[in-house]
Amino acid sequence: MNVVECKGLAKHQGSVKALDDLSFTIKEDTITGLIGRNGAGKTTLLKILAGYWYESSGEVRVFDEHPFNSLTVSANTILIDDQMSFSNSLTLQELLQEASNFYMNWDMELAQRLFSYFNFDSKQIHENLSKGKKSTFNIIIGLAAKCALTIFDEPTTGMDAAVRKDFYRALLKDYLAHPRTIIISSHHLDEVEDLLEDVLLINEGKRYLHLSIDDLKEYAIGLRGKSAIVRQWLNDKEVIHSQSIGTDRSYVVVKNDFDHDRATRLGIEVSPVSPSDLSVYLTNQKQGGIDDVFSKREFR
Amino acid sequence: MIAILPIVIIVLILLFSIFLNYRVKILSGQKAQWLLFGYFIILVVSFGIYLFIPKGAPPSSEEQYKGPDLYLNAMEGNVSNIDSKYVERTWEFPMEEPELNVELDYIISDGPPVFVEEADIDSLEVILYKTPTIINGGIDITDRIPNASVQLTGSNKLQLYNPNPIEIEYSGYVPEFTLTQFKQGVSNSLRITGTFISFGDQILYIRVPQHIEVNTDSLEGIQFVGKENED
Amino acid sequence: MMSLVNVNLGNVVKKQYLFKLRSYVGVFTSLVVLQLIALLFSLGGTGGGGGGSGNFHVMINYYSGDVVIIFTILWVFINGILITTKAYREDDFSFVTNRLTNNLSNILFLLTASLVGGVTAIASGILLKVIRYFFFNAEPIITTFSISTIEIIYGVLATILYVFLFGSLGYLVGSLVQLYKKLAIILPVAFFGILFALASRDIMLVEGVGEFYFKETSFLLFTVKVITTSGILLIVSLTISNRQEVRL
Repeated sequence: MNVVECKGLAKHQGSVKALDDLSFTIKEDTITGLIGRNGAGKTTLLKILAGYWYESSGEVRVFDEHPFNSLTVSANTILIDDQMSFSNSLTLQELLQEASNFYMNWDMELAQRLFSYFNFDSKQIHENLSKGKKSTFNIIIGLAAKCALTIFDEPTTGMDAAVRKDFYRALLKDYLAHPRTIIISSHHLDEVEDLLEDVLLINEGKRYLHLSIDDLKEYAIGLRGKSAIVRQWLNDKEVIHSQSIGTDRSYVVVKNDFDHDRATRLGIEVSPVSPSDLSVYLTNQKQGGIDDVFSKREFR
Repeated sequence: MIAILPIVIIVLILLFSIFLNYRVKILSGQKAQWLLFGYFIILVVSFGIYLFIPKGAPPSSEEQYKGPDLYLNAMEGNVSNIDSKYVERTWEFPMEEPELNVELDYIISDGPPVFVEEADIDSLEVILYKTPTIINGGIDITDRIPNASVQLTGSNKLQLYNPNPIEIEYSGYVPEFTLTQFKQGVSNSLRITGTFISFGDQILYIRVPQHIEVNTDSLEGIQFVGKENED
Repeated sequence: MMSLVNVNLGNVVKKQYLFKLRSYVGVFTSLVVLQLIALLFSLGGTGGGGGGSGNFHVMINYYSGDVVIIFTILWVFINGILITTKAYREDDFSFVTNRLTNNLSNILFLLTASLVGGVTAIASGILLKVIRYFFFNAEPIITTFSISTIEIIYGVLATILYVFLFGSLGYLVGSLVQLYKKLAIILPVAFFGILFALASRDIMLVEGVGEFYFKETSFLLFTVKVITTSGILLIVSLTISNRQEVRL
């Protein structure tokens, strides 16, 4: 069964197209990483899935319902982000209690264990927490709610490295114990890479790739060698990224759809491209990158 | 109501500026609950106490007390029409002199009007008539209003006194407008304050034996019953 | 896969309503503060009158809790607006909700607030009189109207209804402002503008509208008027906020 289905989904905000003709499906009981640069439309997409925002056109189904104003979607979906708002007249402990009233599958034992593991003070007020602490508390809510669709939008904002690692471990363990559909958006793919089963890469509001993480690891290949040789060799390949190293060498990333041995024979070094680097290369708007900004300036 | 309008507006602006930015938070949860609980208790207790505060009765009807018009009756020489229950006090003085000098110790408009009548009697008689002053048709404050008094000094000088005016204060406990809105048959004037007062009067009526000549200072405004009409 | 949780509307509304009673405690503390301020204003008396002749003067100082009711109405109006604002609304959206349950639980909360506001307003009118009696020179007291038990019941209910009416009005204003932020400025400007424009032509808008409710001496008709008006205000609010996006 597909938990999420989008067909031609678009969202306009003023004259900006935050989402543009986005189509994909997410199967149940998978962890999908939603990857994209800032402003790619990740947050917009997740808010539409959670029923917070409505789509401008296209079709969106969550649990086979239109999420906007659907109680079923709201009861079975939780979106954790740094904008979560909690009453400032309730203490953290009272908030956990309130959450348990609303979410039928709420796991209070897990919530309490995480609460004390992360050294929260029962009497604290959410509003007064530091950014990292807020994120951590929100994540506790997200894990303990055990919603069939659990969405984390940049969940680790403001957290220090140790807490991040703890969170990812907790998420994985909890997922294995209670499989459900999880979407986690991040621009640090390397951080969540080990966790993910699928990657949905979006750029400028459009779907770019939707692959399993293993396929993504194989998706492209890096070539390094003398610029002249590499360039000549590239003419029929789909170049994802290229940069020059020093004066006469180049590094080029191309789609991994050919025999590596031929390249090696020409003295070109062949290396795998990490999904995280790949996602950066894929979503660069134009050929080249930040280096080109500087090299063009040197030309003048 | 008009007077509090500026205050209301100021409070409104203050509240908006304080509260509109974020959730109202004056006290934390526990303290807030105590505040609410305390306030509730105070309200309940004060309601209990209120029942035992001595209070004057509210008006049973809007009917004004209708006493006789003392002034008009006296003017027309019809004091006999005034019921004797309105006679507050009488003085009798034996008269030996042929002349009587009446002196007012007060300005006539500040006190009871004075009337003089020649009658077929042997001694000088002064009658103080007083009609009741009643608040809300039930609270009779007639006895709290000081009486004019009379004294004969020497053998023929009749002095009339009016005591210093007194202030009678009451607290009027007005039910809130929502409690009176649905009262039937309440006039608009009463709806605002819920009180009305029937004001009473006093007059001093002097009866002198017929053979006595009465002298007054004409500026004082003492009226002669009967004689005035003949002129 | 986890089986999907089934929820029904009534259940969610009930949970949200109870949640609001616990988390909107600030709404009620502000009520206490406001009513105490109103009491302070009222202690000096709301008016006086009397008269007399020659040797006496009767003076009656009137005390009533009218100002408390007016402040309570202001309070509910402001809170009607407040609970539509981002901070309050998004508290709901951290848990299970949709716009309909959010609005319905808000309306239930407004009803509760009106109930509490109305009853305490009348009760603090009594507190005012008790404070007057014990802490200020105690002149003899006249109760000015005889109020029968049924009139007390009508009065308390009417107070609650007035408070609810203005709460609903606030809720509509708040919903409009959430829909279109600039209305926060346009609405008051337009209101006072129209008010003064009409006043210059001797049309008293507030008085005219006010009389419709305040001069109604039939309790039944009054109830019908208030409930109808509030109903319309709330249905409009519900309609316009049904496509409201959250966590913008």
